[in-house]
Amino acid sequence: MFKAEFDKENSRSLFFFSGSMNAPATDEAVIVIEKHFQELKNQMTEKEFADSAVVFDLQEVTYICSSFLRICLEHHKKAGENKFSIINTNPAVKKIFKITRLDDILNIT
Amino acid sequence: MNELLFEKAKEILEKATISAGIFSQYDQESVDKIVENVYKAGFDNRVKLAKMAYEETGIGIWEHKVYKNVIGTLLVYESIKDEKTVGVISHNEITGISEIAQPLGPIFAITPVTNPTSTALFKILICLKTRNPIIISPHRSSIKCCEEVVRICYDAAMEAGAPDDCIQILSTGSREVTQMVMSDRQVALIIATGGTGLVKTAYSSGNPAIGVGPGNVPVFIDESADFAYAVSSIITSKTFDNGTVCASEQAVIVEKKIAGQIKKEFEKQNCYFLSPEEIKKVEEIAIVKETSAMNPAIVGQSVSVIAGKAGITVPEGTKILLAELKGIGKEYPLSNEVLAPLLAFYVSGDYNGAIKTAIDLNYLNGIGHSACIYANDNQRIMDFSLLMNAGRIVVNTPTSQGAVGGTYNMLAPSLTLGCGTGGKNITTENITAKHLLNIQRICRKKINEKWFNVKPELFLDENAGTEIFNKEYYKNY
Repeated sequence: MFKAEFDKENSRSLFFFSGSMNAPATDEAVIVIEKHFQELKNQMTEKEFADSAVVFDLQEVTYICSSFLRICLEHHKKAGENKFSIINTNPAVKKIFKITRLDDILNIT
Repeated sequence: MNELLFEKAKEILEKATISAGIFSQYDQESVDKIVENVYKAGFDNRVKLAKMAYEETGIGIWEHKVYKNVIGTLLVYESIKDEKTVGVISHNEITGISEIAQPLGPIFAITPVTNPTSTALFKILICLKTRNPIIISPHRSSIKCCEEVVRICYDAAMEAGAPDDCIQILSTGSREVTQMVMSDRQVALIIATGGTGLVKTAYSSGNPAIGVGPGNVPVFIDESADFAYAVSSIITSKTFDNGTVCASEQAVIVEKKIAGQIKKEFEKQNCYFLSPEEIKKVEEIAIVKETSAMNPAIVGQSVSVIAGKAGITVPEGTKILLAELKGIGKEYPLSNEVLAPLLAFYVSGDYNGAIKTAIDLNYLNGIGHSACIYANDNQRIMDFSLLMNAGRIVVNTPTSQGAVGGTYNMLAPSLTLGCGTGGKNITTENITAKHLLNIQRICRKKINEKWFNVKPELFLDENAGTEIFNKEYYKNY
């Protein structure tokens, strides 16, 4: 299950993931994310788009696969260091970011 | 060039680290499915991989490498398949302690040129069973066959749902790159199966390492032994893959009173005793004089090749060359380890002298590895075993097969044999899956009532010695 929305007030794209983010679920999410950004690009100026932030909400996520981690890294690169964050990780998922040492790179809460 | 290799190595390490995170989420059932699939793939390719290993290294006998691959797959799988390696693995109601198995993280696994495919298969299985991604680092003369092992196993692992990059290979052949990886903080553990120098480098890396020690396996044939059986068994072992197993026999020791019979038995079973002149010639090609180390050019070579290199003639069909030596050490080069069908032979005046010779050989660069006795007198077996410094004392058993376990005894089947502190290792055990886990213990409250018998002020009373203190400590106990 996956939901995307844009928070105008804070100029940030919010993506709500849930359940097992295995490879097929990640592939589906990528399509939705790309579509969301395409629509935003059509509605915003280039600067507005570049200034907007990206947030992955993992509250409902129970499992993540390596391709999900890859899209986290891709969006971290695309959005820029301070504009990409991962929020609401459950403890088990937070530990995955620790083991993979991605918590050194990504902004995770 | 090196810069590119370093970049490649860093990429491999990063992928392994990501893989470790993903793997840590797997349950026992998923892990077991992956291990089973990989074991089957490795087993199904045992002949192809053995041939590749032989063709690439030129060491040993390909048919025997098939057996080694079976040990590295079927026997290892059998020994670990029912083990719990995920989550809570035990609970003791009496102590209140529960054990939880946690993976270690990326494991850097060095494989030797003598047993390249079997060691890689074995290490891959025990790493997958414990949810640890593995990076195989092959000896530079066995890169292609190890790459094929990794390809076969990785495909099988992925087919069974394993995480990306759970099996990788670092086949740069560069010592600097290998050293860099060994000391990288992303590596959780190094399993170093190789020569002394390499094992020492692993230990010096700053990361935890499981190493192996060199062997110099003494075999004592007691007067109570079945001589024909003992000789046949030694031949079975010492000719296995042309003597490349580090646990293969290096010296046979007998008492004078049975020496004639044993010699005859070796000769009857197509072994050849070198003359003093021939010993000199073989020494020159078998051992590097300056270092007393074996010459790599004769490792795993047949008797005919060794004889040819030494310029001696031996009867056709000779299985093992024996060199009767009068001493041990630098002056007697063949008293050192040689991984080829070449054995030292010692005759001692009496039993005590024979055992002292075995001790000297054991301590000559083979401390902690393996030793062997052929006897039908249990007291002799026990006496010998108590005096040896060896992780494995195999009894009435070919040592190559006996030490690696699973065929002649119930030792854990393994291609990495711990040699204890004598061999500069942390364990004397055969390395297997259980060594690749962090065991966490949940310790539920179980009060030591004796501790609370003692009044707090008594702990601080300098005049309260053990007599006074223990009176309170053990009160009503």
